[in-house]
Amino acid sequence: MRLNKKTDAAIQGVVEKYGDLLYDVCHSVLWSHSNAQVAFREIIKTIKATPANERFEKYQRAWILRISYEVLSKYSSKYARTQTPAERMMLDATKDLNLRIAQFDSFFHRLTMDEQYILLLRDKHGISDQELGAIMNLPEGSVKLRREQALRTLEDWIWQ
Amino acid sequence: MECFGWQNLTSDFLDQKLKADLQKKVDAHVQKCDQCGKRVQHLRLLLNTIHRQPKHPLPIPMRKSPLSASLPRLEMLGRSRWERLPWFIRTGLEGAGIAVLVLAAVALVPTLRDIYERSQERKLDDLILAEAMIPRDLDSSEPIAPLIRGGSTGTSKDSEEGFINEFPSGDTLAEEEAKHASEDPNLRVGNSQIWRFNLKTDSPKELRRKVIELLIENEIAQSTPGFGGVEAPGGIQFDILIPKEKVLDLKEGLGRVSQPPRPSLGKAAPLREPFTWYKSQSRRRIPRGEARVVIWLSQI
Repeated sequence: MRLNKKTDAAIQGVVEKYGDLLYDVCHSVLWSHSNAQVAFREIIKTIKATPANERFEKYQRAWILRISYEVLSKYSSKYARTQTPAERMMLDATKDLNLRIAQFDSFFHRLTMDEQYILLLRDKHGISDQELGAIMNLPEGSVKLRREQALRTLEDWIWQ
Repeated sequence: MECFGWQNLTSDFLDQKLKADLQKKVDAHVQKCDQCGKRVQHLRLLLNTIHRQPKHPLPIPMRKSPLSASLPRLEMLGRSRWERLPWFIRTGLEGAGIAVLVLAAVALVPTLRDIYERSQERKLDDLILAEAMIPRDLDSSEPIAPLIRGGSTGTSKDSEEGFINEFPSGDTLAEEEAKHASEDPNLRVGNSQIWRFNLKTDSPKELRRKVIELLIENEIAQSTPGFGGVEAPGGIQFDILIPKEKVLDLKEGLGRVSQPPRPSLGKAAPLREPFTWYKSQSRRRIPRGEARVVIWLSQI
């Protein structure tokens, strides 16, 4: 496809506006700097490949995050960093509460990709339940419920 | 408001989005209930921790040219090559592997059993050979002829006399003895005769050694077929051709080596004499100057 100046400008605009958000989400889910860059490139390519008349202008952020959700769903099953059984055992064997809280990142990455995505966008980046529901194609109640479940799971793991 | 009711409103409660009256009820419950109070503290701590997680900015090369910046290689962190395979391939391979293992095990069982049986037979043969090795004296280490197992005899294969159980039982044997004793008080060894000796023992193998010594004493060559004896169910048999003049000496020697009769115990029937013998005429021709001697060491 020939590079279109208008398309280039649009892509550059998206990168400027949402690049940090997208990259942070990719990095947090995949838990790897290099894999996050690859996933980010994939998201931008998908955005660029979308015909102009199908692109959302009004709800641009939700649309972009939806694309990122689909890409990350695909990538997390193959490329997300996982803990080895030894690492899990060591983590569970830690008795000091402060140490366990300090290793929050490790516990966080035990959650499913959906739960991580919800907590990241909802509590780290402040995106509303409604918007999250549109991104993940879920009712608002389901988003709240999944968020609660994820938090309770984290609580059980850390406070045993 | 109870614990279950509050838990259903956790998300809105933490975001303080509940209606005023509901908020009051939940606050009151949380203050009363220790467990729910602790839970609220934990969840707020978790939310703060998530909120304070560092944000990773987009790298500058990617920011400048998101589609043309050089990318690092994808890392398959924490996953082995096996785990990277699709699940249906992994499951198929694992299933095929298990099936192959089971089939291999089933196919190997007869082979392993054969190997085991052969090793056991070898051990048994070694044991028998070891028992047959008796040095005559300390100086000489000449081995005695090995004990053969099975149905082969020292003389012709298709002997008309048959094998084992050739001795007439009980009364018939006594009659034979009486007949020979009465007929010929001065025993002679005639032509084409078979002399049969039966020795009863509780250890045929031990007696076999003595018989072999006796044969050597009587200058019977060790290369004589059947010299080592043949092991059979019920005992050991010697079936050899020896010079006629040695037969009576051998008979005398066998009488000596045979065990003395055991005293009868209580109501048990008295045991027979351990040494019995008789002679008969062979239907087949035996070389001139030789007599066939069959010594049966029967297990008591």
